[in-house]
Amino acid sequence: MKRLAALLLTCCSATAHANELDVATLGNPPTTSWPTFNGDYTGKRFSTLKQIDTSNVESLQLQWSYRITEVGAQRGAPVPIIKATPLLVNGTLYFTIPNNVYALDARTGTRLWTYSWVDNGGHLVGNRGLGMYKNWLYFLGPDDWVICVDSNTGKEHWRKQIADARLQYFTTTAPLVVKNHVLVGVGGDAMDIRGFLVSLDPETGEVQWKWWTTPGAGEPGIETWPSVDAAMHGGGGTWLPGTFDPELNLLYWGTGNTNPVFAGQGRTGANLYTTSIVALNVETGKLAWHFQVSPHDTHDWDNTESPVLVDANVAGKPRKLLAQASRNGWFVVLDRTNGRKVVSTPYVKLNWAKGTDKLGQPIPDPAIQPTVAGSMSIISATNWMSPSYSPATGLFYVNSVEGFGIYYLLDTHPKPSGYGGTVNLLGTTTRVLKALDINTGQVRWQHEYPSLNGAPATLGPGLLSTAGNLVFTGDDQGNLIAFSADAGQILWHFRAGAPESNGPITYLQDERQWVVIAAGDTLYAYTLAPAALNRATQ
Amino acid sequence: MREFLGLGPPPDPAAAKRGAPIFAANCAFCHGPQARGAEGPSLIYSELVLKDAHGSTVAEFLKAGRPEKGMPSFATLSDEQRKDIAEFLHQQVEDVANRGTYEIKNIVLGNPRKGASYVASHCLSCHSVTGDLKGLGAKWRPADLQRYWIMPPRTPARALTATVRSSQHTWEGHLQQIDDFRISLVDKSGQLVVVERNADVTVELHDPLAPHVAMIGNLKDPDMINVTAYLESLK
Repeated sequence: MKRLAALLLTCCSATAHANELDVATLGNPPTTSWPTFNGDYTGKRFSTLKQIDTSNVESLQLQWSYRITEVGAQRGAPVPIIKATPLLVNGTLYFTIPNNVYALDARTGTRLWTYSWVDNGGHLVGNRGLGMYKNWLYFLGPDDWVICVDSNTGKEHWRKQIADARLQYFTTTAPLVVKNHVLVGVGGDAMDIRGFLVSLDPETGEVQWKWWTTPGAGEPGIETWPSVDAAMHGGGGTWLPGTFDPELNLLYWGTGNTNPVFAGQGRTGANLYTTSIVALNVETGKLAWHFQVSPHDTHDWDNTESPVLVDANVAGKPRKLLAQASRNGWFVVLDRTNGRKVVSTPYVKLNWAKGTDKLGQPIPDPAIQPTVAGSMSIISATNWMSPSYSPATGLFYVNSVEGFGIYYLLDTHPKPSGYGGTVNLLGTTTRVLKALDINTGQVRWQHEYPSLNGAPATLGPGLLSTAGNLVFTGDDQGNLIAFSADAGQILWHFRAGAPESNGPITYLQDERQWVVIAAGDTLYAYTLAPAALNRATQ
Repeated sequence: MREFLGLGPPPDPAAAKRGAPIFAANCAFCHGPQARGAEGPSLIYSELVLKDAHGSTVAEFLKAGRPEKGMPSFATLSDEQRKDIAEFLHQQVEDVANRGTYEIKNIVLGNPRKGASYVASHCLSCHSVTGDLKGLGAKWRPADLQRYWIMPPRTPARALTATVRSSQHTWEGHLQQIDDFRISLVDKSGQLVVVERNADVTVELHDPLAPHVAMIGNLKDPDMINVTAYLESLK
């Protein structure tokens, strides 16, 4: 009977939507698939496809759209917003919103299956998507459950709880699959968690290793905390997917803000390894090097932004680099073999730094910290929305936010807890797309999006660059936009029903280049219109 | 907010209030007055507390104590009292974890005399202490006063205005919406005008709050705090 069932399953899945990802292809430049959060392991979100280019992008045509209609308001979130970057594997698109997974036929936008999770707590701020290994998809409930489902049917295979939502851990990330590791990070700064990154077995969900963001007693880095107790509650979430260099066998991960968030008086010191970029051995989880972009963070400046792997020449020599535009307004380019600084410079106007230390890490001005009377500083210069790097232009693209707020310290106890403070925005913010020179960090071109209302705090457009000399993104008012990658000229736009809300993807399917972008509760899929397509494929 | 954050069952404020003096008399010596730890550990982070619902486990735990670690039994308290202690602890957690209930207060710490001199040298070409600034301290709570004297709310009188020109027309009015592709404004007659921003169209914006916008990111904290203290005194 068991054998018969297996045979039936094989036969049916073969005729319907049999889907199995060849794990060996993970990390290859994404062309006919987009099998990880970032497409490949580098985080560049650059596509070598050039059927769509600066000459024909204006003839992009909507092929289908898929709107989520059946979910409605979720616990405190009025409308579902697709923040996930979809995966595209063998003609099926997979994406998420909190508590829900969708599989769509990529040619038509027809729904194939959904999977719903009933949470027991956790923060519903968003869900970034999925990881995939063979025929398995990995998805996180907001309440710290990792759920493995069959990519052909959406049927649950296993579930594993990695933290406790009652301790205020929550989970939103897209798991990253590297070899036989499913890498999962956590968030949660309401109650002073100790952040960690965990590696799970893809077949069983068993824990392979766990790396704690903050050091324990006697471990290196503990000298940057006043006490072991402070380090045990020091925050440092790991809530966005990292990147991976197969040659060095190193994972690169950005770590979140320090806790208590705005009240630093109970945790004097640099507070390693929060608000840092860390390099970890993928087999063991052992720390290889670190670079702290926000030493002693007191402004909620998660450093989780994508650590983008770039191979480029520096002073005429090819180098393995890592670039990050941090939430604190700082841009760094590091040597990813050892974490040494190549570039370290602000990319927005800011007031909190007093230069850099001998490692190139910015030095926070002790006068610019949340106080009871108030202290003015920048608001987050970027956040989780994906940046992009184009090897064709040598430019790093980031949708930055310019603006200031007044930061208040509310919890003056010598051992504060939780957020311990807050920020009041001054006026409105300005969203500015910046193209940064990878060798200098200087702005090569920028585009300020005109707006009366500025950029929202937790939502924003991701970026994709292509070999067609294009950058796909959007503004905060519902316009999906394509810029020329080298000069920042607007070449195409589409009026969607809501602001662009995820990282756009592109892939080749049926010899057509597709671009898929989410805006609010809807996914939009484009190709060239027939005449332009004919010209492009001749 | 607490639902969105997934904070678990809300504490019972009446029980927490009853629990406060019981906690102060029995527990604060070791765990600190706000349960953040003293000789004994912080209870804010305690798994036992965070996983408890309305005394479900904490009350029983208190009955037995943990004598091997020096935590005495509180069997002499009633069940109700032990539950009230649990609610008091949940209230401490709530006060920390639910940032929706945070309040900004007691921020007026600057030097009003220095604030007055800053205002005299920077503000009085547009404003008057006996005119539009009069009574400002009574109008807003201090945190709003500090925010709004730097960047006032955009009332209709302070709205951005725009001049939009094409080779055929010029439109002027209050700005309603602007992006890279269109601009909407209401002209003098109250008519809504929507203009597509093609190559023929130029847009010029005028901001009556431009001197305030220029303060954002440039004003120094001591000046900000002193001016707030001064304006707060203008009741």
